[in-house]
Amino acid sequence: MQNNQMHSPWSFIAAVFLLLLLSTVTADAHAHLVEAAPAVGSVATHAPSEVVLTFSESIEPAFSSLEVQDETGHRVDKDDKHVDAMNSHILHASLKSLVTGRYHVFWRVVSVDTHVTTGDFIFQVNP
Amino acid sequence: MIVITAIFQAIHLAALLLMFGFAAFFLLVAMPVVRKVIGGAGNLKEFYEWSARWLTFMMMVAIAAEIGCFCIQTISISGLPLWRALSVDTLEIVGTQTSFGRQCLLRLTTLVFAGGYLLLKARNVEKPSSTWMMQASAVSAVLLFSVTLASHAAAGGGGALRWALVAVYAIHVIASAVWLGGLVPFAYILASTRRSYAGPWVLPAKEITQRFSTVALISVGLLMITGLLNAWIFVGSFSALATPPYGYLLILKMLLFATMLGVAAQNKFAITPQLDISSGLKRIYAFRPLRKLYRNVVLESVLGLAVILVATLLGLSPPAIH
Repeated sequence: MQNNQMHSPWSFIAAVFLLLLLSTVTADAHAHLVEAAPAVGSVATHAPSEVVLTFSESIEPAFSSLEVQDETGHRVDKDDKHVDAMNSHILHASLKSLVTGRYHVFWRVVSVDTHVTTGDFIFQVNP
Repeated sequence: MIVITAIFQAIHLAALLLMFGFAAFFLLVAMPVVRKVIGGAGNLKEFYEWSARWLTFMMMVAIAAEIGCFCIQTISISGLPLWRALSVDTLEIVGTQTSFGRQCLLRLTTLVFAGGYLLLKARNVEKPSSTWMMQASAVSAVLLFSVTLASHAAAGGGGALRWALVAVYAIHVIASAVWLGGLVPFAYILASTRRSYAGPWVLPAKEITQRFSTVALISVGLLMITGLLNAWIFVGSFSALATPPYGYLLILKMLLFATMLGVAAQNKFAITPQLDISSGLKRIYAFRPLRKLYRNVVLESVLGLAVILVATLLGLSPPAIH
């Protein structure tokens, strides 16, 4: 009985240690924009159907945002931003039908170690 | 916001370091010396009860700091106004849908359940228990290790390299816990020697000082080796030390560490040799160096807290090599 009483807390501690080990993800630095489609400052000859942003680190879907506005400030995305299922570095947002003009992309992402980064860029549609 | 985050994280880290340090001091220094010098556990019981009380208090502080960190990070990552950020809905999203939140909740759960268990056991144990202290040190070691898994070390490289960096950082943290965390119980013992020549801790004071000095020396050696390795990996060059804020913070940490080493060296080479308490007359002459040693240990403790705060700020800053 004495030995069992001594072993049970050690088993508990070992179990917690394993849980902590398994639940921990890599701690990364701030997530910076690595690649964008449409590209930053580009002129697209075909209206894109979505905006795809690739970041340097894995990002959290919750509290990350991606918004696209036209020249008048109206939103032209479908408010369906989501992190890529296969690659947690990529953020998508679908777009409504775009006409010729300039569009402004605003993004805010939270990396998995809670660092927040924001940014924006312009692209044009000119078929 | 980053300063508030650093303060909460520093309090959390300090609480965990002290938990481990208290237990390590009891097991490695106080218990072996008292049983050898006095031949009984009389003084040890009082010291054990004091250590156990402070250890459980540190657990409460760690829980409160963890909750504080969780709330502060929720405000930061949500980008919402304060009253909305701290709403149940937002806290639930952070706790269940973010990696940080899930880890935080797991650490909190560990602290609450392990802390509750240790508190219950402490009340039922009538004599100093090395088992209880070992369990307390194991819980704090597990929690300290979880902190290392969320550090810059865990972001470096992949596979075996990442785990090597985590191991280096873990050794650094545990060594600092043994040294910095052990200073507080050591100060308690020295403080009690100041009150009376016939106090229970006067006779073993020199041996305790020498034994803690040895333990601290090993810790300092490990700190220097792992500290240099970390600097080489995350700074990379001397010129990168001029990179704010990481480089400047690292220089400040090294200066604080060097100051602590200077104080520790004075304790070991100048003061400890004067602690000859073999006779009643010599005990009187040892009173002054004991007081000086106590003041130095308190100074080391304050510098140690400053090191912990700077280390937390380092953890929140992008490494200079990036």
